[in-house]
Amino acid sequence: MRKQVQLRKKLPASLLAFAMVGGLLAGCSGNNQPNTTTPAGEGEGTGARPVITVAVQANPNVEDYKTNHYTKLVEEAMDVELEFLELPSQVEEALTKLSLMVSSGAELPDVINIYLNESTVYDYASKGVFIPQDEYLNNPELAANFNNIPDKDFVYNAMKLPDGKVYALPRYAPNEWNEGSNRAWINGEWLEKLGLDVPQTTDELYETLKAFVEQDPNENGRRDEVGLVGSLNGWSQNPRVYLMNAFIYADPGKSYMNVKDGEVYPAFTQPEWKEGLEYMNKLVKEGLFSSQSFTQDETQLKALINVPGGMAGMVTAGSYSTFGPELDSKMTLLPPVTGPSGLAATPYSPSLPTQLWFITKDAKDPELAFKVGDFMLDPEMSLASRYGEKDVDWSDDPAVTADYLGPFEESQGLAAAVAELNPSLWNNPQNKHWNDANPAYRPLEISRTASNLKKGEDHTVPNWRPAYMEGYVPTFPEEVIVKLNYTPEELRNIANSKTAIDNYVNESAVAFITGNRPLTQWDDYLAELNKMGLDQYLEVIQAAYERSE
Amino acid sequence: MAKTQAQMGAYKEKKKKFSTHPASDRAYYIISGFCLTFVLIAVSYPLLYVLSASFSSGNAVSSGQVLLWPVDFSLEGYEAVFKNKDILRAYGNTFLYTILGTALNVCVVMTCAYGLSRPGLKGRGLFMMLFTFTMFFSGGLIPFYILMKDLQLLNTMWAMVIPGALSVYNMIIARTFIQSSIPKELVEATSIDGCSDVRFFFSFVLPLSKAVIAVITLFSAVGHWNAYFNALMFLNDRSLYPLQIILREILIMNQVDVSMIMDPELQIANAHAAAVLKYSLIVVATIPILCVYPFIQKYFVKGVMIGSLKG
Amino acid sequence: MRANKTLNHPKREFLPSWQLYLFLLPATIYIIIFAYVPMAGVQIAFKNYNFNLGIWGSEWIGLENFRRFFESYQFETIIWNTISLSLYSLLISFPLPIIFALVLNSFTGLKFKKIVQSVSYMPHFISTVVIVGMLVQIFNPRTGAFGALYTFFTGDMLPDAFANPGAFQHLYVWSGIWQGIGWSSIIYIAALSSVDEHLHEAAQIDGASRLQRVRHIDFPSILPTATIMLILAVGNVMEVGFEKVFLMQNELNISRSEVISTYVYKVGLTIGTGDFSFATAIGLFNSVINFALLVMVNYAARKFSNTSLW
Repeated sequence: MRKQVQLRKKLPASLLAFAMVGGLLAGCSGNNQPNTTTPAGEGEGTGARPVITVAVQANPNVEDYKTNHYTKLVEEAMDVELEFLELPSQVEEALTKLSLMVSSGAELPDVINIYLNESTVYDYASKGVFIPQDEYLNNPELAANFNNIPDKDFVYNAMKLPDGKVYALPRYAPNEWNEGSNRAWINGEWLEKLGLDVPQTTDELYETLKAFVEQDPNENGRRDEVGLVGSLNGWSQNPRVYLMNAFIYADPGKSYMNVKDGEVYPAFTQPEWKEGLEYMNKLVKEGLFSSQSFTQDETQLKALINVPGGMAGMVTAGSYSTFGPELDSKMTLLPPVTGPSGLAATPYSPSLPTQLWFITKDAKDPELAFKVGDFMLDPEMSLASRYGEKDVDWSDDPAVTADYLGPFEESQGLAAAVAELNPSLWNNPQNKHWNDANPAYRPLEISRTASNLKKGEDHTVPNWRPAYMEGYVPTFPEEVIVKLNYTPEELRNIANSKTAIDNYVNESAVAFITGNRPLTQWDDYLAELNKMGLDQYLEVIQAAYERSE
Repeated sequence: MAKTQAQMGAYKEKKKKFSTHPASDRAYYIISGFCLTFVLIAVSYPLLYVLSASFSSGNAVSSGQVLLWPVDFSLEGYEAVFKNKDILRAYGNTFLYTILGTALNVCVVMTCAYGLSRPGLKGRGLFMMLFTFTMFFSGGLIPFYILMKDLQLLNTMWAMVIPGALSVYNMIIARTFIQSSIPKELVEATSIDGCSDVRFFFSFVLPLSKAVIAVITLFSAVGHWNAYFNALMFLNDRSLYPLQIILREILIMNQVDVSMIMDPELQIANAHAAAVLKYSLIVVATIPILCVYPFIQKYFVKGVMIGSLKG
Repeated sequence: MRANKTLNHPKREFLPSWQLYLFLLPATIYIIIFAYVPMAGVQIAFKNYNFNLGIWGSEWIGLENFRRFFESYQFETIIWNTISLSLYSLLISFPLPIIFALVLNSFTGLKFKKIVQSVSYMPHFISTVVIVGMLVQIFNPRTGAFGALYTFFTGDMLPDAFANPGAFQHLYVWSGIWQGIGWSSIIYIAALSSVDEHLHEAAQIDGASRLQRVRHIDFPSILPTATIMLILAVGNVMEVGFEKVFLMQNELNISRSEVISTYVYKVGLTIGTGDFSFATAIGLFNSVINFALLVMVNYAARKFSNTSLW
């Protein structure tokens, strides 16, 4: 019996203590906790500067918004104090939290400064959560920096929502490299070894891949070479897109919707699309195009190709960083190949302004909030927003930039105008800028003349931009869908059919290519699409397209 | 206590020499030993992989060279994790939330489970229904957020402690355990002796339910340790953030959402740096909670002599 | 069970006192405030939720949200994928942890037992992203460990498991076992620790083999726990975890891998602002089915095994 007494004593006592603590917590939680959800409005702390509260997205590379160099620049120049409310770093979670704040009737911060897609912006705008900024933008005194933008009309129009109003300030930094990212790379060493020229047509590409796979260019005595390969989810690594564009213009970013003479039509129902599938099916059947491209992720792709001596003849990828040191600059840019009808194209996504700095209905001084946002468009602020502190992290002093090699210096004689003194600032935790997530304007010239390459130093990564300008940019089509302005109502109506159709188009394309489904079923495929509500979907797209023009 | 143990494992198979087991038992032990070894090996692989990857260079990880052992041994992942200034404070917060939350959770669960475990209780089925119903139906996020706002729990540490005070799932487990392991005769016997329900709970139920208290503590602690969604939604102040939020922020960089950002090439630079972090993050985030288990495990091994209690 | 009978009709003295309700008080207060008060929000499933107008003020649209879901083109496929994946998973991941716990508990070496137990539960803490990444890597026909073994023994290239829609469910379920068997067995191991050791002694004296004792002593002692776990698991059939399915999806297996949660996610993405009403409606649909299943299984369990939730 003694043992039990011991047992009895030990456990309950500690549990009782827990219970008491628990009770205490529950008891006091209700009343004495100050409500700190709305840090706005209590700006008396330091001096008499007016306070502007800004909702930003948490970013692990931004150490502390409050003490940030960029914040200090804004605060000093505008004589305001910025307070921050951090939203989650993941986009969907940030959106959820924002809508919770709005839904619960809590007081909103003065400014919401996170990326929102246009239909979300429109949803908030049409319900009066965001206030229109047209009046401010059109006032050259208030919007001094915005009105200094040379292509401000383009920027203004690109930000218009379906109601014809603008609710944000732009972050606009065009960069040609990102406008046509569906790039392909071919193993130059193998070409040389086998005495082949760079393929220019789909037929030549077929022959080249055949040679790669059959003639053992990596010289290990085994037929282990992969012809063409890509990945499922890496940036522009889908090989279907590159190949299909030799047959018909196909842009996955626009759900493969094309436009001709103002008329929107789907690429995936055209006979040329079928031809493209036939061609790819042939490649897969003969082992020249790895069907692993449809199941492997980016890590797997890298593991496959980055081996000494090389493993793949041709790889589709947006970024050259896909290739590791093992390949030692062996991969060279392959311009779009020409298909049987003479088409050579690549998806074109024109640089557009991103909308940021939404002023909310609860803003205490919307005009001041706007002025602060406009100040961020100042040229020097726009550089600080990306490169950090002037003369420490970057410089436009000609004496400094003279030591740097501009990306187009060798091809076009364009000298470097901005020197990036501290390139590692970008992808490391820092306290110099907001990771460029704020209104900013950097003209095209900046992207063409900013440089982090010191003259005379070995450049580990070759500069592909001139070759890209020469090979890819001329194949952009003349008429493209720049953007589609849907209303929330339209989106709700097409959501189901769009999801179903997107799924089905991709799934079927892969099935046709891998031969899981014979191309004799093409008509069934078309019939199925119609059943899914393709016509209604197209009508909505057409309306949205006309609205955006 | 030593005496207890000796008495508990009276029949103790482990003390016997293997050859003294009957032949049929030997066959049983060989087969089950083989199966357990297989599970052990299969399950060790992911653990070893994560550990190795966390000590490998970012390049080796992101190009998939790590298979079993570290490649290009490096500590860059750990360096990057601990470079984050918020990590230590977040650790402290998580410890606090986990300890408070678990304590509260265990108290509420055990009292409720005991109450519902007694067969004679009037309205027992109704109460069970009431509790079980909430496992399936909830009002969703918006009304819950509004409730938190009205209770003034938003942006306070209590937002991390109180909403998880009762896990119906844990309560059901505890109730089932109490019901099936505490002999009904015990209730009768003590009841005749004039033992009140409160005293019965503290004198008999708690000591006899150590194993299930251990399980519930573990489940609840792990739940609190890994909780992040409430923190994301209900906390605005960085100084209140638990560890998981900080870790997720670092991890998120790994995902390049091309549709939302204007400069994918720049973001890829970020993603590359994050690839190696992923594994060191898992190690950093799980080691402390893994240490809870051994403490809890000993309550599973010790059986309690129910028979002697009755005496 | 005869002993039970006498308990169901106890003498007056054994009736639980009012004190027992005191034990229920904290939990009941909690559940009312934190579950039943916000439950009114479920009405947005029948409304077109507008954050300006709030939950009560939004426009009533009846079953429109449900109609949208039922009429969606892939409705039947998605429901079938969800249920079949869930049932398959239940069929495997319910009994295996029980068997594992029984075998582990009955094994002789105490040290070895402890090691297996504490190692086996650890994979639970590895994030889904990493587990799926490892799966893809292991099954890679060219570079994966399994692929290499396959090629070594057969001379052929391993067919790509992720390209085969038929393989999706197997990969999903068995990798779930791989990661979760130890964790799920904890509760059974705990239950086994409360088995009265006298029973084993007595059985051993009667000459019962270890296997017989597992069957006749250990197994019956965890049966109530197992029954309750089964009831709860069946009440979860419509829920298939989003993240892992989503990460394992690709265009080759989507015909089998699209489940309710991933589909709702994609529809929600299209809409941009996030459709609270639609998501709530589908959640409600799932809950109703789950709850109905739970009630039925619970009824059956009470009939046949005398163990039930209520």
